[in-house]
Amino acid sequence: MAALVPIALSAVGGAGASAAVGLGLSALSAYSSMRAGRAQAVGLARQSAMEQVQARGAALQYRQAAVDRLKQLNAQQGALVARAGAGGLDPFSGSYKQLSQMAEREAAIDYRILQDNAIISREGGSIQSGLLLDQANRAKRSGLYKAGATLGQAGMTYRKIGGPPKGDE
Amino acid sequence: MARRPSLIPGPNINYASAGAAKAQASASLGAALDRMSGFVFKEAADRAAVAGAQYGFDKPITVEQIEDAMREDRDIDEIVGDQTTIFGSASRATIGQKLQAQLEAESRSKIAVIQGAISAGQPVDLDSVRSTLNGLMDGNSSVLAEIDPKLASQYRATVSTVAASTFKLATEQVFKAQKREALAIYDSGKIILPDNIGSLLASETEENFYAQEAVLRRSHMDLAFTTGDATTVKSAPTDFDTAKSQAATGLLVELAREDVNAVDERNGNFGEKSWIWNSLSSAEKADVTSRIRTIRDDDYTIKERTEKEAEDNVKERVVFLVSSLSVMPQGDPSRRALEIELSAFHAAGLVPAASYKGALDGRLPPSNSTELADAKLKVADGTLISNAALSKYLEDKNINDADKASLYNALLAKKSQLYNVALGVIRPLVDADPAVSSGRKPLVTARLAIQAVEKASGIDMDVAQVARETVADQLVSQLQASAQKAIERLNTDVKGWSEGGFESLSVENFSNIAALEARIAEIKNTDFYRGAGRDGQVNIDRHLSSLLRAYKQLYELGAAGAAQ
Repeated sequence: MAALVPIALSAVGGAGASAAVGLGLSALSAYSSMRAGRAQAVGLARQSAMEQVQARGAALQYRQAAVDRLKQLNAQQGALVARAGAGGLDPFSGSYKQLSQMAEREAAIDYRILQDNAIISREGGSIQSGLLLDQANRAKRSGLYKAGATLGQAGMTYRKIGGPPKGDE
Repeated sequence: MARRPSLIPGPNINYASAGAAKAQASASLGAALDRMSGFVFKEAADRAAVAGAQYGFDKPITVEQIEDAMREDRDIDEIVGDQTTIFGSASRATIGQKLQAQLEAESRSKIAVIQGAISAGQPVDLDSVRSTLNGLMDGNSSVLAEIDPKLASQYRATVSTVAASTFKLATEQVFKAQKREALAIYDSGKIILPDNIGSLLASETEENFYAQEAVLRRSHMDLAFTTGDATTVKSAPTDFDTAKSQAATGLLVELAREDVNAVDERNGNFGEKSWIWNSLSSAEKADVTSRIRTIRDDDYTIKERTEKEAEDNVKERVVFLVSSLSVMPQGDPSRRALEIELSAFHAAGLVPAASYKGALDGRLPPSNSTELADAKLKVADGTLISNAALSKYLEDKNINDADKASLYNALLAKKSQLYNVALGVIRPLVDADPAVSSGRKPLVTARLAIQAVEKASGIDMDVAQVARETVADQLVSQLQASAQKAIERLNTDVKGWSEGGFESLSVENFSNIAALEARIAEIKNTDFYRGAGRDGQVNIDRHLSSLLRAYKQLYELGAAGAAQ
């Protein structure tokens, strides 16, 4: 019996070495999986920040447009007063007054819409950013899980190959 | 108013795509590594399978090791390898195949020994054979099942095929032995059946006999049925009838032998046993009549011989009287009675004058010494073996009564000696003869011994040799009667036999056994035989077998065929 043990060990030695190499390669593969997950997560996190920046920019643009609309109203009122004065008419009564009031109403509506757009743009960017952050976290976890699975499968395969009974090892 | 600059939209940089591209690179690397590790693991698995098989082949595992582990409730993975691993599975498979082959060989060897013993006719205990075979199958297959249930099933299938044929053989042998035993019991019963029926016939009235005969017949048929042999069952009624016929005719002949004048076979008068005569067939009556006629003839011969013997006894008595008186003192008180007896014989003319005178005065004439010496020699060598022969021999010899008396005494001693020699030869032969009933054996032995002694004295031969020949003659007579009976049975039992042209079937017509066998084969090839039906063929076969058996024995005794 004792004479057989070396024979068995040498025979299994080949299989054992191969299995160990396989196990090492699987560990590297697991590391790659982790890295892939992490890289994807970093990209997504950055994209999330970018989305927030872009949303804020868009909100500012809407705020500027709102201000410009008020400026445009002032210009319209000034033009009406000037035109009434030139014609010797009272700019604060009659049809001039009605035109002035209509311009004010239109400008107020536009101003509120532009204010709302700014809010929508900012909040939409914030939501999109949050989603991307979630994706980043998932990608990271997925990389970790895949690495774990790879290592687990390698371990099971290593065990599946097996060797001589304990007493003969 | 100068126009104020407006905000421009922020730069649209796609960081997600950049990350995805980087992740894709890592994933590709991982996939490549996975493929490599898969290949390496496959290589390792292939090597483990080969190594496991080699390990299993090299490791000397025995059934006892497995059984010990099972008994100690240990996991046999420690011995044969873990079946959940590739290495263990391969080593286990190899060990299992090795053990399967080893156990199959051992089982086949053990079964072959059992088969050999059964075929050699050793007594078979069916339960023991069954438990041994089951032990071989169950015990070993449970060991194999621990290693691989599939191997256990294969082993069981292989061994059970061999075991089944062995068990079948054992069963057949047991049935054959039971049948043989039943046939032996039946044959024993058949042999004593005539005696049993004879006892009933002798002791019972007609009415009681038929009641008891029915019981006996049922018992005989039951014995026949227990044999399970169709031929025996078929022939059982005939066997019973034959035994009854033998017993009935034998009893009537025995009655005649006891007192031949007390029976009248011509008118069927046998006293209380006349009902037996009335129950006989005409053939049986003819047989009884013929045998009683022989007894009557013998009886007449015996009477004649008795008278002659009485005459010889008188002569012998005279010799002894003369011899005694011639030497007896005159004053002896017993002399008177002897003289009166001798005077009576003298008056009847049975005492020669010289002898009478010599007896009274004590002076017998001297004997011729030569003649006396011759006579002594003839007595001593057995030439003169009976009193009658000696008496006749002495009639014209010049020998006085005193010497004659001494010759008679010598003859008596010689006869006793020869009779004992003849008995020594004849008794074992008669005892072994099943044709002679046990009650008649002493009588037959004595008769044959007397015949042998007398025959030996007549032809000047060794009495032991003559005794053997006498018994052989007796056997030949029985065999001839048996052969003749078989031929008669063919004529009476087989319909159309006498018209079938088989009249040449007689022991005298065949020069050797082969000739008779050839004739029997010829008969079995005839249309008559083929058309006789199954029952007819069984009848013909039985009687032809009896004839052939008797002929073979006759031929071996030199009493039939060319050797005759």
